[in-house]
Amino acid sequence: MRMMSLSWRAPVTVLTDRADAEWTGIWSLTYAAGLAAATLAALPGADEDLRLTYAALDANQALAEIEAAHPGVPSSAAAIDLGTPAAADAAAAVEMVVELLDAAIGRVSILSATAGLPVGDLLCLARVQPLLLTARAKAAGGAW
Amino acid sequence: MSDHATYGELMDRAAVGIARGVSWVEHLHLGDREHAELAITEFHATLLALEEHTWKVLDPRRVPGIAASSESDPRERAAAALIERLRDTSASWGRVDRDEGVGTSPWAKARRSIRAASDLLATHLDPRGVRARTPDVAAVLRDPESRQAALARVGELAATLLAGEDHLLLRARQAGVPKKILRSALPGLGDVAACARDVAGADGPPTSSRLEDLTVASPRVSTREPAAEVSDRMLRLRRAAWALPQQTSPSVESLKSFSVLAVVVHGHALANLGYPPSELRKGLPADPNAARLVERSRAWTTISRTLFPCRTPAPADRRIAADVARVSAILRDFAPLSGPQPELKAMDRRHLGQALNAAVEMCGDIAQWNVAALEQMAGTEQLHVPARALTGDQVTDHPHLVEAKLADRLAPTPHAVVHDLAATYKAVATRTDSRLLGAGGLTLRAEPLRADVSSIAGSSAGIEPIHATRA
Repeated sequence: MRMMSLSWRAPVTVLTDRADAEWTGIWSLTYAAGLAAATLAALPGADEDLRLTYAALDANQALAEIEAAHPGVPSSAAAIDLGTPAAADAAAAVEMVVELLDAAIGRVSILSATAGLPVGDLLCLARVQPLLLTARAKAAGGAW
Repeated sequence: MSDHATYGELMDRAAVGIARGVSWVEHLHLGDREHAELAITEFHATLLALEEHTWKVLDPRRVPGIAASSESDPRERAAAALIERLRDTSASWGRVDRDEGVGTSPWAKARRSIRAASDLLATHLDPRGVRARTPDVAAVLRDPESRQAALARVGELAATLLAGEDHLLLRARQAGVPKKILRSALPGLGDVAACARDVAGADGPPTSSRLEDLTVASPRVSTREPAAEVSDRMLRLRRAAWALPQQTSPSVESLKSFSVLAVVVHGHALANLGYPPSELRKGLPADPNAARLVERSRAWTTISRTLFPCRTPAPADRRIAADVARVSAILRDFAPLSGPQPELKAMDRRHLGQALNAAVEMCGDIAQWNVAALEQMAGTEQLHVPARALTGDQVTDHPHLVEAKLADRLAPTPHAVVHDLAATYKAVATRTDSRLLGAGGLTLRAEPLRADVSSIAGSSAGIEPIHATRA
């Protein structure tokens, strides 16, 4: 069951450990999480309640917020596609989506607390954060 | 299902007003000249409202050509003649008070409805009345069948109103209106009435359900009842999808929102048909309609996944995202995919099902316009993906993509990706009705028809708001 998740494990660990608490790091984590959610949603039977579809949409909107404030970010940040898992590994893969979103949320908190952050950036993060939180709630399967 | 007045309803109200005017004239106070003169003014103003409406239906740019040509459609030629004769005749009436805001007579009420119908048509065009603002312009306003129906309706109303001229003349004389005034005010409009009858047609007037169901463009969204709100927001989204390929720089973010909308709509429509996720787990439904919905849902999911990495310079349209979020929230609350279903009245449940059916149809239209927007973005090199996401096969023959991949930059979306995406869109798109093609069958002269919300969803009259409680 965990065979695929092992293949996702390494890149997810690298991302969550090494992504910086800057715009590029937040973008990379969010992109990887959103694309992974969208990929899982396309697996037959893996997204019956459409939670992953909604989570991917929220992640995408968070990316759009970042890109609107910092258009150069997608050209400089790492865009990671974790690939398509086997259907049997879907549950483990969803956990990793949540892990990536948690990491992104953590980086947003750190960046928001940076002294001297321009007000525009602070507001952008204030728009990104709830989108990541709702994406996480949807992917994690809790009430939302 | 929509709460907004339709063209058909407004013209029906006008018909009732004109018909009741006969009785109103009959009961004018004899000896009260002022009332009789008011009735004449109302008669004139209502005729002019009909003339203006005919002008709008006919399309002002076409009128000179229709009037000059002997080859033009007989009803349209008669309508152009009606306009011309009414204008000639009204020149002798002096200034007609067209203020429709104060009158309480049946004719004043009819006039308000006619003007509202004219305004309804105008909302679908730009202020000059030339450029389309909605897909309904091509599919309805400029559709010959609908135009014939609109002209027949207005011709019938004008003929009915004019048929009362002699009666009005009689009552005005009895009320003491001077003959000199009556000679110019009610000169005998038999030739105008004949034109109106030609416009109405001898046989049963043609009808167009698309015209009858036409509502104002960009209406206020009704939040009175969930099914009505879903319908209104879906119509607004459909219009936004239509407008997207006409923009110079459409945003791929809008395509992403539309793809999620379609996934959501199909999922809830399936559950509403009795195929919630727990049923679909058992395999493809035996019901061919449900099976088709499953296939389309999967195609939209693929579209959503493929679009995820795509980027365009244009920012997202927040209104589209907001409408998608609201439609999905309503569906989750009132037609959940699983778990306890809210207790709804049978009628409310039926309306929600009808709104969902219409929404599924609209997704087909949206796909057709989304693929046009996609091809435009790709054709103008506005569509990019992070090059790192591209596979070796996708970049191997394209040195600039290889370079972008190595540098982890954005790169133009490979042609093969766009091609596959377009093919998936086309598989779920509404097939263009052959009747909407030009004579040679090559030129698209009209957009696909609007999903017939009213006929699918039934009338909203008398719908009580849904009060849902969790079971």
